[in-house]
Amino acid sequence: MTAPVIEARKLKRILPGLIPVTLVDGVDFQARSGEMVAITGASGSGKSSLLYLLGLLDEPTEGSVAIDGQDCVHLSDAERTHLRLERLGFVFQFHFLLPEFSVLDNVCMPMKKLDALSTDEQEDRGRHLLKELGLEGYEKKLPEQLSGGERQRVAVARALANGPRILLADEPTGNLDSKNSHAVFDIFRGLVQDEGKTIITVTHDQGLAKSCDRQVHMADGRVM
Amino acid sequence: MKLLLGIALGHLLARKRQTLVSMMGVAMGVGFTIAMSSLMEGSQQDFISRIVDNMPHVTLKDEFRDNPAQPVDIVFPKGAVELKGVKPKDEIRGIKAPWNKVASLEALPGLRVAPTLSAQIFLSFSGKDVAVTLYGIDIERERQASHIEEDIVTEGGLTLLEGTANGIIIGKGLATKLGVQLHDTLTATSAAGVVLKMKVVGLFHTGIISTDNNLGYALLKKAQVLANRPNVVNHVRIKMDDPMQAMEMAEQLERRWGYKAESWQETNEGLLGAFVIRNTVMYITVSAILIVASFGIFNVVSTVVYEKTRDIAILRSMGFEPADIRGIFLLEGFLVGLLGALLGWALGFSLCQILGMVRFNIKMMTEVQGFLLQSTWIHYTMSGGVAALSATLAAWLPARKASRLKPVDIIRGAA
Repeated sequence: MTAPVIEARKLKRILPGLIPVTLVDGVDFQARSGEMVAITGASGSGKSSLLYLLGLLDEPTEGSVAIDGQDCVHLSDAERTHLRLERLGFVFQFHFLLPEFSVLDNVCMPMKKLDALSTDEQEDRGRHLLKELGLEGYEKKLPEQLSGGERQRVAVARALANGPRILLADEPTGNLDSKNSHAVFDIFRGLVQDEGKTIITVTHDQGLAKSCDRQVHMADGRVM
Repeated sequence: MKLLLGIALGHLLARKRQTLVSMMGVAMGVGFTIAMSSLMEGSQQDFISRIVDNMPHVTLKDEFRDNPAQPVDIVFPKGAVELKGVKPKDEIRGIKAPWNKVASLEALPGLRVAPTLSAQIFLSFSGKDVAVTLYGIDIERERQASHIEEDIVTEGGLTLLEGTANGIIIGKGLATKLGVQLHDTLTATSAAGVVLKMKVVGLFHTGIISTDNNLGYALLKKAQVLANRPNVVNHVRIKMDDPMQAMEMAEQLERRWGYKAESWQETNEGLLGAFVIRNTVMYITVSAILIVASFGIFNVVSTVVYEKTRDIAILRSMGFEPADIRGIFLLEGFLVGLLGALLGWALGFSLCQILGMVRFNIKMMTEVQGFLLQSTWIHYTMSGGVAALSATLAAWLPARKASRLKPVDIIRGAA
C-alpha cells in the first residue's frame, strides 16, 4: 500500500469566543494517491472545516496535517501559501471566477503566479485543460457568458492549472443540476484514474458520494 | 508585478465611471496646482527680475547700522555710568573719500559702480508740489551701473543732462502728476532752501510705479548745488554680474568701511517674505484639493475591496500572498493617481495657455498687462508626484484591510 499523500492526526479546530465552538474534534484522516474520498455529513457537522484544515486554508487548534509526509502545521503563512500554489487545487461550491478576466486568463492565473512556465506554455496548458474539460472555444469568453456547469468546469481547470497532486472540492456540485453534477464527478473520476490524483470532496449528494472510492461520514466534528 | 498590474487594471476597468470620477478629482488637483504655481512663480519672478534689473544690487549708504558709541562708554565699557541728555555732534553727512572707494570697488571684477547724491527735493509746476528723490549722477558710470538710459522713452538719453544748463530727467508718472511735458521748466527746492529752475530733458518709464512716480535724475554737480552739499556723495550704488552674491558683498563692504551696505534682498526683505507667505498659502490651498481627491480614491479602492472579497479569498486559496493582495490594491490607487496626474498635466498646460491669453492693464506695484506665467518641470513633477503618492497612500488602508482578510472566513460566509 502506498503512503498517504495527505494525512491528518487528532485534528481539532475550535473557534474562540465567549462560547467557543468546536468545528473539528480530534479527527484522524488520510488519503492516498489515486484515491477519491467523499466527506459527508449533515450541515454543521464539520465537513468543510476539515477540508479547509486539510487544504491549509485554516490553522488547527490542535493536531497535525502532513502533505507528502511534510508536517505543515508549523510552516509559516508564506510557506503554506506556496505549498497551496504548488501542490493543492481547490474547487468551491461557488465558482469564484474573476469576472473581469476571460476564461483562459482565469485558468492561467495560478500558473502566472507560480511563474514556472513561459507565457506561451501557460496558455497552451490552459487551452489543453479547457479542451480536456470540454470547453474548447470558450477561451475568450467572460465567466458571465457561461452556464453554471461551464463555470464550475472552468473552476476545475483553474484548480488543475499547476498540476496539483491533491484536489480539494467543497460541495463542487452544490449549485449544479443533476446532469452537470454527474459531469463534474466524471471529470474527477477521470483525473483519479488517468492521472493518479487524490481528490477529497465534500458533498451532500449520497449518490455522488457512493461513486467515490471511500466515504468519510462526519457528525459533530467527528468522523463516525 | 505584471500579474498584479493586470488584476488591478481589470478591477479599475470594470468600474469605469467610478475610476474616471476619481481620476478627474486628481486631475483637477494637479491641473490647478500647476496653473496656480505657474501664476505665482511668474509674477514673483517678474517682480524679482524687475527689482534686480532696475535697483542697485548693493547700495553703500552714508549711514551706520548702530549709533556711534559715546566716549564715556568707550573709556568705561563696563562702568556703572549713565549719561543722559547727550547732544550728538552735528556731522556732515556723506561718504568719506567717496572717489577712493569708487576706485577700489571698480578694481574688483564683475562690479559696476555709480556714485550718487540722493537728495529729497520738492518739484513745483503750475501750483503743484511733489516730493521727489533726486539722484545726482555721473553719467558714464550710471550708464554702466543701471538700466535708466534704456528706460528713457524720449530722444537723447542721459547725454542731454550735460547739454542743458539745469537738466532733469523724471519718471513719466511724476510728469503726469505734475502736469509737465518734455522741455518744460519746473522749480526744484531742496531741504537746504536752495531753489533751482530745472528743465525736463527726458522722461523715463521703468514699470515700477514707485520709481516712475517719485524719482528724478540730474548731474551730480547740480544735485550737490541744489542740496547745498558740495563734493558729497551719500550713496554708492553697485551692480553685480551675479546679483545672488549681493548679500555677501554687502557684508564684506560693511565690515571693510563701516558704512551701511544694503543688498537688494535686504531692501526688499518685506516683499520677499510676503512671497514666501503667499506661496505657502497657495500650496496649502492646492494641497487641500489633492487631499479631497485622495478621499475619492480611498472610496473607490475601499469599494473594490468590499466587492472583491470573494476574489481575494480565491486568490489567497490558490497561492497569492497577503503582500500580493496588498500590492493589487495599492497599484489601483497608484494607477488612479498616475493617470489622474497625466490628465492633470494636460489640464494644467491648457489652463496656463488660456490664462496666458487673458489681457488686462492694472497698475499695482508694477504695471501688469496680463497674467505672468512661468511653468517649470518642477511644477509638473511635484504636482504629479504628490498626486501619485497621495493616491497610493489613500489606497493603503483598504489595501491593508484586503491583505488581512482570511480566505476561510470569506469562503465560509459565501457558502
